[in-house]
Amino acid sequence: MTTLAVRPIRAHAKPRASRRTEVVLVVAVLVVSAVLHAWNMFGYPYFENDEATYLSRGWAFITEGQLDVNTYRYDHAPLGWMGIGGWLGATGGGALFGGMLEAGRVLMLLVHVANTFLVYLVGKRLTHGRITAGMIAALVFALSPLGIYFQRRVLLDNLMVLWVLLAILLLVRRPLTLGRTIGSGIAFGVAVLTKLNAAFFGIGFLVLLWAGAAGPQRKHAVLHWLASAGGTVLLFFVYAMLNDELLPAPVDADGVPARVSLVDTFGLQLGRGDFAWPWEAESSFQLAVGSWLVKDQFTMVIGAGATLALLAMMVLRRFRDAGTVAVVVFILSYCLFLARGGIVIDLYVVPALPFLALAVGILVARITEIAPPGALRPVIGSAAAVAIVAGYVMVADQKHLVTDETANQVAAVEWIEQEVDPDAVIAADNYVYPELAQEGGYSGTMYFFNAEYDPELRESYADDWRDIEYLVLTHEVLDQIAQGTVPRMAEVLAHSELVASYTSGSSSFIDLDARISTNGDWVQVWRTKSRNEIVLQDAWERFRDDWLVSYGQVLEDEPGTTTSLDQALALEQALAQDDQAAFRGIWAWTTDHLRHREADSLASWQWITDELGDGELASPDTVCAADQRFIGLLLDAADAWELGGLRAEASDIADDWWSRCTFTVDGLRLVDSSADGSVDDQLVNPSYFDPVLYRRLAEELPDHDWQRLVDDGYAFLGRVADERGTVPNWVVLTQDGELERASRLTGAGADRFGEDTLRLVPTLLREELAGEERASDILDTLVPQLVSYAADSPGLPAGSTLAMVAQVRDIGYDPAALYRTQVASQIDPDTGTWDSTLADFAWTYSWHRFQRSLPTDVTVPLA
Amino acid sequence: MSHEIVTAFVLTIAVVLLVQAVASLVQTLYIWDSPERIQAAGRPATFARPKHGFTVLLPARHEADVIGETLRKLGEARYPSHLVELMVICTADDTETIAAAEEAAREHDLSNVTVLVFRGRPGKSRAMNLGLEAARHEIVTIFDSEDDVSPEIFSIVDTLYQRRAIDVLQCGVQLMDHDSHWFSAHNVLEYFFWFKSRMHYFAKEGAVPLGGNTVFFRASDLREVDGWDEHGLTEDADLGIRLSLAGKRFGVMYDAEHVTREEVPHSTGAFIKQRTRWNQGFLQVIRKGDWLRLPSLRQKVLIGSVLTAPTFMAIVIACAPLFILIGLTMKLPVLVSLLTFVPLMLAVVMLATSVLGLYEFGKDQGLRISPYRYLALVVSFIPYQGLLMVSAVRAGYREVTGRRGWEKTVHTGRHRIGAAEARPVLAPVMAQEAA
Repeated sequence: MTTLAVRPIRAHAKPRASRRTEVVLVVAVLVVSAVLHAWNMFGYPYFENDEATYLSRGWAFITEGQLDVNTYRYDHAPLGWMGIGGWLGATGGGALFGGMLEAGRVLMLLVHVANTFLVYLVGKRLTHGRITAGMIAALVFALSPLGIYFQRRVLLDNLMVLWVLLAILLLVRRPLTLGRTIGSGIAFGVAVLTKLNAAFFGIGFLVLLWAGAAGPQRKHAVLHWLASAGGTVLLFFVYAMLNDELLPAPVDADGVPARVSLVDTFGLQLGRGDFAWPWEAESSFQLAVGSWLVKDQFTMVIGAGATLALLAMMVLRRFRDAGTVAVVVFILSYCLFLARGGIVIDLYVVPALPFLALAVGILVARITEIAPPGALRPVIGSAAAVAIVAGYVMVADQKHLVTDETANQVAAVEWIEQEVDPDAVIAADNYVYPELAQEGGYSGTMYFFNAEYDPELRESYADDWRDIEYLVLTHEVLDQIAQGTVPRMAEVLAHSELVASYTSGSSSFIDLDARISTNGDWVQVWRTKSRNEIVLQDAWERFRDDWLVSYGQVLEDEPGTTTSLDQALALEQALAQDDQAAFRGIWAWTTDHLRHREADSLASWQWITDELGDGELASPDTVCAADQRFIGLLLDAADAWELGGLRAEASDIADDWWSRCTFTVDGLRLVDSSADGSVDDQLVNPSYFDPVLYRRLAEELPDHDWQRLVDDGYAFLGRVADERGTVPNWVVLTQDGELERASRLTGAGADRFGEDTLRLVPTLLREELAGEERASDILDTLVPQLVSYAADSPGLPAGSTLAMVAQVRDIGYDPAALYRTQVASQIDPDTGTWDSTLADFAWTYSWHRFQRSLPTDVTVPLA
Repeated sequence: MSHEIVTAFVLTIAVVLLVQAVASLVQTLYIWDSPERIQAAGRPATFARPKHGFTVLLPARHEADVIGETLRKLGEARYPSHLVELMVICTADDTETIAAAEEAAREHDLSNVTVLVFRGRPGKSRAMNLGLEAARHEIVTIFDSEDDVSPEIFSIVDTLYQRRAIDVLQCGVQLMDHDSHWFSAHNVLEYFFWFKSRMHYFAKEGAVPLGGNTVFFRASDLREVDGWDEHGLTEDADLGIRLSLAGKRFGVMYDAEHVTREEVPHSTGAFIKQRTRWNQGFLQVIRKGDWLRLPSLRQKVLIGSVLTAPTFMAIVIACAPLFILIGLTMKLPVLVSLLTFVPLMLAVVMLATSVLGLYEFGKDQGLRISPYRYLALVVSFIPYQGLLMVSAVRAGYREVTGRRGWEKTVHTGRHRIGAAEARPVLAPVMAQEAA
């Protein structure tokens, strides 16, 4: 026979205060509780992911009969949001309160007031009718800033607390009947099905049952409480079983489960977070306790103090009143849950709060009993109440009454509604979901976590994160990305650009690169880049990681050479990817190593690095094509990053370039191949002709006659094409204005259609698209030759150039097919970029770089 | 058969089963609901000064062996003998019983024994009606010749009649040999729950299907409703309903020490025959239709459901293959399927309650119940439901085919005059449905 030494709760407690006084006091506490809760409740704290999750599920339940907006994964038991759904249904969704989130918070206000009242009733009943205990407990419960922070939030825990308190109240009313016992069991079952961690309160209930019933009734009471609570909870498992979703799901060859499974999900949930004993400093438990102490030291201290005091009284003074024992057991068993070593989320404190409040209430009631019955006891009780109120006013943070944490969130949603197409695929912090997807017509909006994991949703964007158009980034999303739980979202964020940012007034420290945010009162909207830009970004990252050495040298292999054209390619990418640090490094390295010519500020073209990494200048000569690109890139960088110094530098280089890299022969001002100072025969590389760049420089640097360079360049190309029937890689122009063969200077092939000719093609195509007829004339000559060249010399240079031509001109090839076979085939699906040599890189890069300047009607869909 | 019709059918059955299971649990647990009820259900703590006179009707037929012992024990009752009339009633041709009764009166010096002899068709109800006509005292009661009656029963009943506003008092009857047969424990628990708890519930509702013995009536009330029905198989249940109709107030008393002790049927066959007889009796009461005149709808539903429960459950159990077929071949809405699980869960709760009941029975009666018995109770739960089903089907079959006669049980040499078993009206809670 078990003999738990508990004193049964007395059946008939004599009233100690008049009914009227009690009613006035209770109403006063409830009003205080309601006002403190309601004041600024739409403004603080920020709307959290979970709130919207439960609201949207509730709405899905009430409107579609579904337990989740997408696939229900048994992550929580569903009764909580069924109730929330009922409330939304009864209040017209968000219509009555200006939005579902607001409607949810109104419900939480009602729940909070009800919970305060229940705390009062339970506190009173547990102490044989001591109003002091109930009042003090209700006061602590109502005033705690920690409580207000979480109780305003639409959390399952708040609803769970309601059911737990109700279940307790049913057991502490006298006489204890089996009807109430069964009611209590069902209420407790509902509590568990509202939030599963309610189960940890079970032991406390057994104490109340044992103490509340005696004799033959006791065993029936325990049996039927367990049966009704267990039976209610069992229905959840039966539900899963009926759906064939109870047992672990079979997995396919890739280890992907075929369906959801309650057992699988529970296993996953139990394994959440790293195990750490609560006494380890880095444990989730200690982190959570720390954050609670920051939010509300007062409640934590008096609650824990009261619990320890009651425990000491139980042990030392053998004071084993059933109500006290039960409250201490409730608190300790929940603490065991918190200290189990698994993950402890901040909001886990919610279910503990009413019991900490009750402990304080009971302790104060016990203390007043030091005084003889009579007027002195209420005086002591009142003094304690005043002390507690004063404590909260002085010690506790009052920002829940004044801080607005939701303005940024509201503004971000409004921005989306104004700026974003309703069909857009949006992965978002769930707070936007009710308003955008359920109240508005944004059918492509997804909770980012579901977007990551729900197979159905992943199908909706073809399981390709690049098809997610927007990411609504918040504290929570960033946190999950930082934890590595949502790799797709991390990709989206990495490959998108900021289009709207609402961070004003935020108290958060935000460092996106380090994935750090400290509070949820800010929102940013990021738009995923186009596929082409994503390829270019990934290409840059590969280029940077593999080939950029020292502080800005492009070097493919050691030993190897670095050219000024390689440096220009690197600068162009760094600029396009907004990588200022890399740009500065590359330019600094270029200046430090290549720009030491005596006569001008132009760059020497070649640097050699040996096996040991030591290097030297291999040739002081310049390549004018590289220098002209430096001018353009420095100007663009100066614009992009507002760096006036770069502009001045560009202007200086441009002056030198104009004087050293251009020459006039036969009345034509042309671009030299190299500022070699030759005055006799001029070696010309026709592909250095860049009219697109010159037109831009004409605007920026009007000191030189860039337009002449364009016109004369076309005239020269026209002449070459006429005389030679093509544009060769190289040509020599004599002092007399005669065209001569270049093969004697640059070797065999110099006078034929070749790779340098290919480099001219994209420039001419861009000119043609801009309406330049002279470019078209030359292309008319070159394109048929390109087609046959590609047939004779298949490979990346010809293939990628042909693919560009096919986009702009009808040459009998499908540009999309050419792209797939010539360009996309080079891409490694794992890295998203090209795995080949620097030379090949330049050709594929060129194709993608070319896409930027194309009107959308000629672009091709990218793989 | 369309999907909707099947769904509606399953839903209906599930709801009815659910309601029945809940009602059954409520009745079973009625007395344990609160300490007050437990207190009120037992015997009075003190006895009042004897006031009421009792006429004990002892209908007997060929019971010369036991009648003497019965009279001796009743004679030892701690109650003024001038307030107790022991009336043995038998047919004139049963001379052995008459002689045995007179011999016992002499031998034990019992001044208050009368032997009422009648001619013509024998029958328990007829015997009791005749006894009622001749009864001298205000309170009339019936005992069975083999009953083991508490000597304080008259003091208790007299006290209750004085202290409470009651007209009819049913006192507890309890089968005792919980380990004599495989079905004994279940049978014992039926009595235990029926007399200890459920009957209190019926008494509160003012409509009670009475048991066959240890029932006390006011003679005037019996005369008012014309006594027992001489044609039914369960005339006591019928009488309870007619007394309810007449607005009589019911009381129930169950005290472990003062129950009338009986034994379970001696074989499975005997059990089935007995249960068939009761069930058929209920069907007759239903058919007779008096219950439809009960004043409140609640009473009608209560009596109607309790009398039809065995038949209904038999139908449900018999339909189990159909339900299983539906469950295997059709995809019902999950919520409907979920609902069908609730009665099943309540059946498990009922079984758990039975286990607890067996423990309490043992404690009440000072019997040691071995752990094995609890296990046996659980294991035999479903076979026992089968036994009940067979009985119910037999009863329905016999009633439909018009075989209304007394089904002779093979008693060991004893030919008893009538159904003197105190009978719990059992609503089994086995819930079988399509998953």
